[in-house]
Amino acid sequence: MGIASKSTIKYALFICFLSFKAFSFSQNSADCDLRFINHLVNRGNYHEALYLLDSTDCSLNQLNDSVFYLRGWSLYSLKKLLQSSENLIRVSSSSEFYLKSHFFAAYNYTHSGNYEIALKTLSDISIQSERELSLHNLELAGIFLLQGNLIKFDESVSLINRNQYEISESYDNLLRISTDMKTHKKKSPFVAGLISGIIPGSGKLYSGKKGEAITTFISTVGLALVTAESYRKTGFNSFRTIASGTAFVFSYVANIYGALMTVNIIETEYNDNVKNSILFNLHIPIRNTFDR
Amino acid sequence: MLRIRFFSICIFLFGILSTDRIDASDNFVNALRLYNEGKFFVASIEFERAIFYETDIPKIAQCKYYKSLCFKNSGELVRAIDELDGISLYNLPDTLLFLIRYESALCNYLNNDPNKAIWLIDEIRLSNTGSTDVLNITPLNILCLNSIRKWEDALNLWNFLIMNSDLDEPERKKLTEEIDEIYNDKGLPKFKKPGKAENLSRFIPGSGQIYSGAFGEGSFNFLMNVSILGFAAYEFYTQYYFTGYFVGLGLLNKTYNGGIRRAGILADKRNQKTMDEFNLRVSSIMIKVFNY
Repeated sequence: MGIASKSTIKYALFICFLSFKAFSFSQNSADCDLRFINHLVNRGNYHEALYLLDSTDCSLNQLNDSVFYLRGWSLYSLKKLLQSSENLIRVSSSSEFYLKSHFFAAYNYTHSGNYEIALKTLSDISIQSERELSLHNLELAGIFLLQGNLIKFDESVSLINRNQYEISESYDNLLRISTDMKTHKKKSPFVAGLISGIIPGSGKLYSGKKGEAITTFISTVGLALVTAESYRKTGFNSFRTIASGTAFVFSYVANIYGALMTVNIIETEYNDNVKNSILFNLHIPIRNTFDR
Repeated sequence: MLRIRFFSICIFLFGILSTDRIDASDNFVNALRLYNEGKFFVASIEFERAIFYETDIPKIAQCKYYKSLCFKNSGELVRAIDELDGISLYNLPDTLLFLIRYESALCNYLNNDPNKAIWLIDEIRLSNTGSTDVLNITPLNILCLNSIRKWEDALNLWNFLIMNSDLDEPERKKLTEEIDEIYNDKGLPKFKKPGKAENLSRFIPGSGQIYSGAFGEGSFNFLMNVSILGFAAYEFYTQYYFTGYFVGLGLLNKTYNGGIRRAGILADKRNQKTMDEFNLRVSSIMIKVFNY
């Protein structure tokens, strides 16, 4: 081989090398700066982290577990729970964030009222240890309790190892809530309406609203007295009697309607409190386990 | 020999190109460009990136300072204050130290905390003997003192500012007279006492509102209360006791007590407006004379 051909090969190799480096450099510059995004998430700058994750550079890394995890965690922290779950659920089992992501995805679905999807998400998690199994069963038990399925709740609870410190308090709380749900007696709207018809305001007293009961009683009885006074002095057909009588009728009907509504409101309040307590006791163990 | 040179070049280039070190100064330049373009949200992220990769403390402080400017320009004053509070002031150049403290005082003033702003300004005065810096901080100091109604101190600072200004003698004299006029008893804003407004309305309904500058509202409130009281009195006089008590006095209870509370709120609103107008007048003189 001549000198000319040797130098040609050298230059060819040189150009190939430069081309390769230029290509690999451009690949690096297109990557997400995940280390920095992780830093933003740790600082609580979730909007900023999401902005970078949604930028062109990061969208090229659609298969990256870290991208799904960081996006899901930022959305979870911003209370965008469904969007968060859509990302967290895509974290693969090879990722170090796999269990955390999938447990939080299930919790987010539960919090959003998508109980069936939450149950499916939990059943799809591959459990490795007894600790994870207990947490898994606790989450299942909580969802069954939210669905009002006390039989399945009892089944799931029986599989939990109470001695684990991350879940022991929530376990006791869920049992207490289930006992409370079993013994809870619903207030009857019919009874509230009936007794309000007899004594104005008593329906609200039956629902536990003392202040509203006193106000209703005074205003309705007051208008009744005003009407009676007008009737006694000016007769039935006077403007004064008709006006005060109309006001009294409105007040009386509103008192009965208010009693019915109050029963519905306190039942809704009770259900909301129970739901929030259950969610709280599902949230704390997964935070204790994965986010300390 | 040629072969050695060839491979040396390759090794050198490989070393240069395979280093993925992120240059913090590039991040800062990029962030500054975005800031100058008015893209404050993205600029704040890039300043944080520069902070993340930077190791030099004064440069970190500089980035944090600019990051706080991004927050201030986006109207996020609390975040701007937090960012400035997080800067380590040890071993910083005097110019940067002044800028950070000035910005911190300004953000606190804008965030309706003039006392903290004054405390920070005093810190500048104590730590910095440079006459230019002291002169530069004085306008903000005057605005803060106005906000807490320390008129005499504010007037002294005005005199100091005029004395050290580039104005010629006739202009100085004219400005001094103008400032004296503003800060004498006639020129100073007259504030309403919320307690006095409430007490006035307690004795004569509506008078507290009139005292607070709401003549129409006060007159209407007075007429309404008098009419209801008249109605109640008439009902008692004509022996409609229940009507007089439940309709007349029941309604009067609401309008009378509501009027008292409203008088206090109106006095507070009026004071805020008066203060804003006064500071606007003072600021416009500063801008006009000193081109701040």
